[in-house]
This record gives sequence, structure tokens and C-alpha cells, in this order.
Amino acid sequence: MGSQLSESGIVRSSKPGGVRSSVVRIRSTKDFISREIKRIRQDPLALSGAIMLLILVLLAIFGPFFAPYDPWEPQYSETGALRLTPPSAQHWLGTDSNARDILSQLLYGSRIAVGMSILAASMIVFIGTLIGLTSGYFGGAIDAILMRITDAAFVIPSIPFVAVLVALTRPSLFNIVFAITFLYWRSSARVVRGQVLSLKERPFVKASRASGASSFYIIRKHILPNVLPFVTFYAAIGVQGAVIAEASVSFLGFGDPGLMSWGKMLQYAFAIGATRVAWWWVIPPGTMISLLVLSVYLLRRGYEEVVNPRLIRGQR
Amino acid sequence: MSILSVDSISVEYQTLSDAVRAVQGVSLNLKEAQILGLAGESGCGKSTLAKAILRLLPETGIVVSGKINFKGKDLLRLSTSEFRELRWQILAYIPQNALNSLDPVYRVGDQVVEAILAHERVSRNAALDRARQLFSNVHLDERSLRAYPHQLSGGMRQRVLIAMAMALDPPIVIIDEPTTALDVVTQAQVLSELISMRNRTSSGMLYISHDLGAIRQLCNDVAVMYAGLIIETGNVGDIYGEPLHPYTMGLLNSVPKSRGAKRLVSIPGAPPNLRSEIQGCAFHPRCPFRDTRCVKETPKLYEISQTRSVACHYHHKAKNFRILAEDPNIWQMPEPREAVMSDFKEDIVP
Amino acid sequence: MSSIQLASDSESPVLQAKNLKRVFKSPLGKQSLVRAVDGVSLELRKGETVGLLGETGCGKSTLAELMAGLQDPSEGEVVFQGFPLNKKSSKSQWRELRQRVQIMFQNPFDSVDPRYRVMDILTEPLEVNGVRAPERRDRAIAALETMKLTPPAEFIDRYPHEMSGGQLQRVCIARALMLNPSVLIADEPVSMLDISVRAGILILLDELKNTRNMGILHISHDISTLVAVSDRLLVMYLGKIVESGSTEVLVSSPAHPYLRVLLNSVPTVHDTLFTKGERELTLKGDIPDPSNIPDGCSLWPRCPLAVEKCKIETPKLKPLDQMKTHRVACHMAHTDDH
Repeated sequence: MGSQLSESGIVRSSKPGGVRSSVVRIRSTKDFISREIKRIRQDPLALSGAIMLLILVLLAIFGPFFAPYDPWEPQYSETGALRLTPPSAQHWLGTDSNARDILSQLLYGSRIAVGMSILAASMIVFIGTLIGLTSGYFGGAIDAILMRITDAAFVIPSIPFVAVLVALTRPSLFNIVFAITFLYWRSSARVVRGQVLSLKERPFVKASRASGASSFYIIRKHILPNVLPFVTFYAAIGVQGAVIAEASVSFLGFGDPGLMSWGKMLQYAFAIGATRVAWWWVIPPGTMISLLVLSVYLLRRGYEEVVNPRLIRGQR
Repeated sequence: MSILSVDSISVEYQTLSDAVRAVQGVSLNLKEAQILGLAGESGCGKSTLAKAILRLLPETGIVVSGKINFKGKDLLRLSTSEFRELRWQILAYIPQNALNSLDPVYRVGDQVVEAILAHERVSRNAALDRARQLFSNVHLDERSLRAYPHQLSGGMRQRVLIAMAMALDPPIVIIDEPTTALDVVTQAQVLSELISMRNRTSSGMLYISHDLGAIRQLCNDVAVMYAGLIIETGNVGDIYGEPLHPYTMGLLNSVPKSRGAKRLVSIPGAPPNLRSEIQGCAFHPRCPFRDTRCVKETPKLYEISQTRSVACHYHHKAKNFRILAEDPNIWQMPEPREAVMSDFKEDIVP
Repeated sequence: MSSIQLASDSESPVLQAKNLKRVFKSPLGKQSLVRAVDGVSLELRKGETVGLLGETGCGKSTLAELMAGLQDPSEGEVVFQGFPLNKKSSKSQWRELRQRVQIMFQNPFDSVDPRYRVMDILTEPLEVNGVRAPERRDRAIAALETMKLTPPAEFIDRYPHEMSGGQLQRVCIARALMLNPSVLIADEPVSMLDISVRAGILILLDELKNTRNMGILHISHDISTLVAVSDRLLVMYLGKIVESGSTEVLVSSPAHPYLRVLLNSVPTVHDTLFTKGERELTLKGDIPDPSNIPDGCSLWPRCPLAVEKCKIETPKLKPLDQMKTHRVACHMAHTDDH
């Protein structure tokens, strides 16, 4: 009954796609990291995504130091305020209607975009995993309650909700991040829960229980490491969503007024009506948003194999 | 009369780093109305050989040498389209997992009819009649014709596959472990279907399995495979009653014969790594009767008679070996025992 | 400190099931229930191997987990060395049972977490029970020696995928024995292993049973294996035990139609293990869906001997002989002369 295991120790697949000489298993944190790096290096799309993201992160960290001007300061020349000037030697991306340097705005804005995405992603990962784990492993009433909350979260449309929430409370970055997180943990929680449910039934988990291991021990040693790939996958999705949500919210005018974000730049440009006139104002922030989302997306694609086993070829 | 002749086939699985020699220079002959059992444990190459014949090897599987002859044609040299045409008509295949082979969205009767119509110029009604007959041959109710695969039990699905395979009355049927996913009683039922099929048709069948009991019950002749090689052939009575190769002896003795676990023979060690070139006899590291010749010289398949062959230098000592092989302690010896060898420089058994 | 009082009588069973039942609600939400285990009673003594013959879907794995304390019964009791445990018992009581009754599973590669080395796999039971690090490693090495995985140094740092099925199954046995259990429940321990490797595991289990005076419950669908290793046999069909007794008797004079058909139809390599008799006796159809078990005797739709009574009244497990060692649950068996 069932399949026979080969005694010669050769891990061979019987599916078309043939033999992979690398074994697709995570061994330890160090192995995990080096394996992920290798995986990224092998996939050209993921690699370009990773590089892009790295550049953006570096931009976010160091950019503002290199900003030629204060993004809030109107710029003057001898003739007067440099309103809506196209790109020039002094102002590489030109200026906006308030004579502020656009390049500087872009650089400062990158901090918001990248920083907020990472924050949102981390919170999504953390909360989603926590809920998924608890729900999946303990089941029963806890599971029922948490899943009903998750269902409710699914019903809410993302951007309008964020907009409304922010409008009702103070428009601040924190609120935006909070609102985004509140929505996006739903997918990761669901998926983590599913994964936990199936892991719970695997013989090695049962064997652990038979040894007398506590739930916490089993979750820590056996369940959590196995759900991490899923979690990172959904974190990436969360980042994408977060970036777009923030940009949209700022664009709609609900953004934090004290901060310079890319969405804000777009909102202002639209409000002034400068879109057809000042392409240098509109295109850079739009492009940057797209690049950030794209880089995360490309990276994420590399993880689809892990998350969707049907895409895996030739694995035992 | 030989209908399929496999001539020195070697198959390798090629990965980025190395090559696995799954089948090494295997030759066999399948005759009309013969059921040839291909016996062996996992990794011995039997499934690979079957897939090579059916040209169903995965991308990494390559036939590096040899021919597969059917009526004078080398099946491996045919183009894909030529082979496809020929396949269902001459070479039927009953695979392991019935669920994967039946299209879930079509009724099983329709699938059989379509298979017939694709290869023969008959009317739909004639095809349907034949489907009915085929189903009744495998003791499936006519009503089953209208069922979808998921509505049938595992045993019934397997019988559908048998019916489908026989639809065009193929001269060669290759059966690959058809009973793995079934419960014991159903396994026995499927086996008896195959037996009645054997009695009814004149097709030659290649039955691949690790289930020695099933092979014994179903097959006329047996070829035993080990590490990609055929190490013994013969008819069922000879192989199970008077095996010539130590591996066959060990294998048969490891299956329970009587009450008591202590009498069971356990062959120590494991099959050789097929990634590297094998020196000498493939089985020698685990063989209690080996000596220096076995370590250095690869035994060829010695032909004892028309039907009997064995790849062992000392096959003439088989009678003695058989007696010794029943003792589990013999098999625990890691080094070749000089004493054992000298025990039968002369024949002990009268 | 232990809440389980240990019975000192070695003749009495170390592990018992008393009318164990485990019912699952069908996932489809219908009214139908899956009676995975439906009133099973059995006894296991130290130093004996009891074989449980059953197919997938008959509830054997659920029964195994119930007896290992991994699932709570819906009804009935698990009695360990005289101390009963049922659904009302506390979690800590069940946990104590779990340490003394260990379990091993069919697929060795799924029975271990593939991301950990043999060392960690073996020492997990010790770590969980507060054994210190240096001692853990020593005991792991000793365990590998007992399992004849020598030299231990070669295996201790390997990952599961670097080992063969037979070797890994030995590691699983070693892990199960780390806490010195009184009972080992082996759920199809050799079914996924190559034929020539099985014998080694079966011999090992037999030796361990004797040296450690354990009781082994060996669950399998393969009658040949069970006949070779079991002292007593139980036959399970759709959640119930339909026949029980010593292996000798059951195999020479089987009473229940299911067992009779099985013994006749199963293909064997050697004719010496048991004699086959009635070739004409067969079962119709296939095993029914566990959520849709027929009323009366669950075998009646397939049984060649079925009569009206079988459709209505569920047969009870009744002794066939004076010594009450051979029991069968079949209306026809008690009237039939065969």
C-alpha cells in the first residue's frame, strides 16, 4: 500500500520535470538565508526585483542626506520664486508650484514610502502569523471567533476603509499604517491557519506530542519554521498593498500634512492642476511608486513556488 | 513467438551534476500469450525500463543505448507522431495510479469509446458495443459506463483502466504496479481480473511489481532486477522454488514463511549508488558467498538453458547456497567467510 | 507524584481498550457521522505482540492514536496498567499516558521534521522531559548503537533526506524508545519499506520487545507480516473488531467471512505460512464510505454468507470456544460448521 521508498538513498522524483539535485528543505536560519539568496540569484526576475528594492532602501536611508535642498523651502533665484520650472542643472527634476525642489521631495518621500511599507509589512507578518497560528493550532472557539473577525475584514474594501478611518481620526502616518495593517493581515492569517491545520496532522507533530512536548514547544520548533515561507510571501503582498494604499490615501488628500510623501506630491500636483503642464512633477513620484511595487512583486514571484506547490517541478 | 525484444537498453537520468545509471544493458524478450513479471525493489530500474519502452521518460531520462524491437521496427527510432499512432494499438499501458489516468470530466464509457474511435474506423455504436463487452470482461456493470471516475471506487477505476488498455486488443500490455493504492481484498480481485485477461487473450504482458506474491500468482516467467541489471530469469516455478542468484534467495527468504520473526532473513546494506560505476558484481557487497572474483569481475548473464539465466559466477553452487541462505546468521557476515567458501569446494548436498 | 498508580501484577494487561469509540462529524456538515472506532476492546500484555489486521479506512490509525493518548475518545476508556483514562480525565493524566505508550508511523520521512538532524530528532523527547544536554547526546549515541546504525558518529549529524527509509525508520524506533515506554504502537511500520529491509525492522522490534519487556501493538494490512510476528491477532473492519484470538487458531480456522476471504485471496510468496482453502469464497464490491456504514453487520452487502438477520442485527464479538480465546462477530459463524 502506498509508495515504496528507495533504499539506495537517491531522492528521485517520478513526476515529469525530472531530478533536482538540490533538496528543497530549510535546515537552519543560516542555511535559510543563504538558500534564499541563492534562489534569488538564480531567478533573473527576482534578482532584478531584489536589486531594485535594495536601491530603494538605500535611497530611503541615505537619500535625504544627499538631497540638494530642503524639500519644504521655496527656491528663489535672482528673478524671484522658481515656480514650476522644468528640470535644469540646479534642479534636476525641476520645481513645483511652490518653488520647492522636486528631487529633494522625492528623496525625502522615499523614506516615508519605504519605511512605512516595511513597518506595515512587519506588522502584517506579525499579526497575521499570530492569528493564523493561534487559530490553526488551538482550534475550537478561538478559531471560530478569529476566523469570523477575519471574514469581516475580508468584506471591507481596502482603500475606502483606510480613507474613512483616517478621515475620522487624525490623518497621521501611524493611523494610515494601522489601517492598512488591519486590513491586510486577513490573507496571511488565513493562509497560515490553513498551513498550520495541515501541519498539525503530520506524523512528526504527532510524534512530538507523543513525547510530551507542550504546544508552545511544538509551535516554536516545528510549526513556525514551516509557515515562514508563506508568511514572507504574504508580507510582500502586504507591502505592495501598503504602498498603493498610502499613495492613494495621500492622493485623495487624507495623508499626513506634515510629511512629504510621493502620494502627497501627486495629490498636490493634481490639486493645482499642473498635471498637463509640469510632467516633471507628476512622473517622478508616480514612477517611484510603481518601481517600489514592482520590485516587491518581482521578488514575491520567486516565492510563489514555495507557496504553490503545483508550480514546483520535480520535487519529491 | 517473440513480440517485443528489448536489446541492451541503458537508461540514465542526467542532472546538472551527475548521471544516474538507472538501467544498464538490459535485454529481454516478451512472447505472445506470456506474462513476464519484472520483479525488484524500489530503485532497481524496473519502472524506468517500462517507461523507456513506452517512451514516457521524464526530460532528464535518456536512453543512452539499445533498441526496442517490435515486428522489426525499433520503437525508439520512430518519430513522436509515428510512435503515438502505434502506441495504443500495439502497446497498452496500465499505470499505477488510476485517478491520474482518467479524465475526471468525462464519463468512463465515453473515454473508452473515444480511445477506440481514435484508432479504428468503426461506428460509434460498434465502439460502444465493444466498450460494453470490455467492461463485462472485467466484471463491471453496464451502468458503470455512464459513471464519472470519481463515482467509482478505486478497484473499479483500475478495472476501467484494464478495459481501456485491452480496447484495441494490443499485442503488448505493460502493467505497472496496478494495485498499490487498493485495499487487500480489492487487490486480489484486480489480480484475478488480470489472470482471466491472461487466459482470454494472446497478448504478451509485462507485469512490473515489487509484490512477489502477486508476481507468483499472475506470471509465467520472471526477470529479477537489481541495481539496473537483470540478475536472474526463469519461469515462476524455478525462480520461486529454486532460485539461482543469492539476491533472489535472500529476497525470498526475507518474506515470512512461518511464524516467528527470528527466521526472517534480512539482507544487510543497501543497493549500490547508481551514480558511480559499479565494480564487479553489483550485489557483492551484500552477498554472503562472495569472493575475490566477484569483487573484480562483473558477471554476465549466464544462460543456463533456453529459459533460465543468472548473473552469478557461482551459479553452479546454487544448491548449496540455497540451503545456507535460509539461515539468517549467514546474512549478517560483513566479510566473506573463507570457511563458508571452503565448505563447498565440493558439493555437500548429494 | 504520578497520578497513575502502577499495577504491579505482570500478568494483567499493560494497556487495554474498553469499548472505545471515536466519532467524527462529517466535514460536509451533514447529519452523518463517521464512526471511525465503534466499540473496540482489546488487551495488550508486556512481552507480547498483538497484531491488528485492517485496511486503510477501517479506523486502525484512529485506534492507534486513541491508545497512545493523542486523541480523546468519544466514549469508552483506555486503561493503562489498571488506571483508566477517558474523555473526562485531565490533560495531565493523558500526558502521563503519552510518555509510557509510544507510537511509530508508516512513513519514516513524514515522521520526522526534515529540517532537523538525527541528533535533534532523537533528543527531542529527552529535551522535552528535562534531560540535560550532555546526557542527551550520550543517550542518542547509545540508541543508534542499539538500532545497529553504526558507527553512530556517521548517522548522528545526518539529515533525514540523507538516509534510506529503513535507516530512518530505525531512528523513529529509537526515538520512540527514548522514554522507555511500556508499550509501542507500530502503525504499519514496514509497509513503505523495501521487502528485503522489512525483515530487519521486524527482527529488531521482536528483540526490543523481549529485552525491554514491552508490549507491541502491530497494526498492518499485510497478513503475512502479522502472522510472522504476532502472538495474537485482531481483525478490524469499519471500526469494529470482527475476530480475535491467537494467531495459530485464527489462521488455521478462521471464522469471520472477511478473514476467510482475505486468507484465501491474498497472494503469497510461500505456501507454508498458512493454508488456503475455499477459493470460491469472495467478497463483492468494495469497502463502503466510512460515513455511510450499513446497518446491522457492516459487511453484509459484500458477504457471501449474509442472511436477513445480518442486515438488521449487529453481531457481537462472542467466543467460539470454551476457553473464550477465539472470538468472532458473525451470526453465521456460530451456526456454521466449516
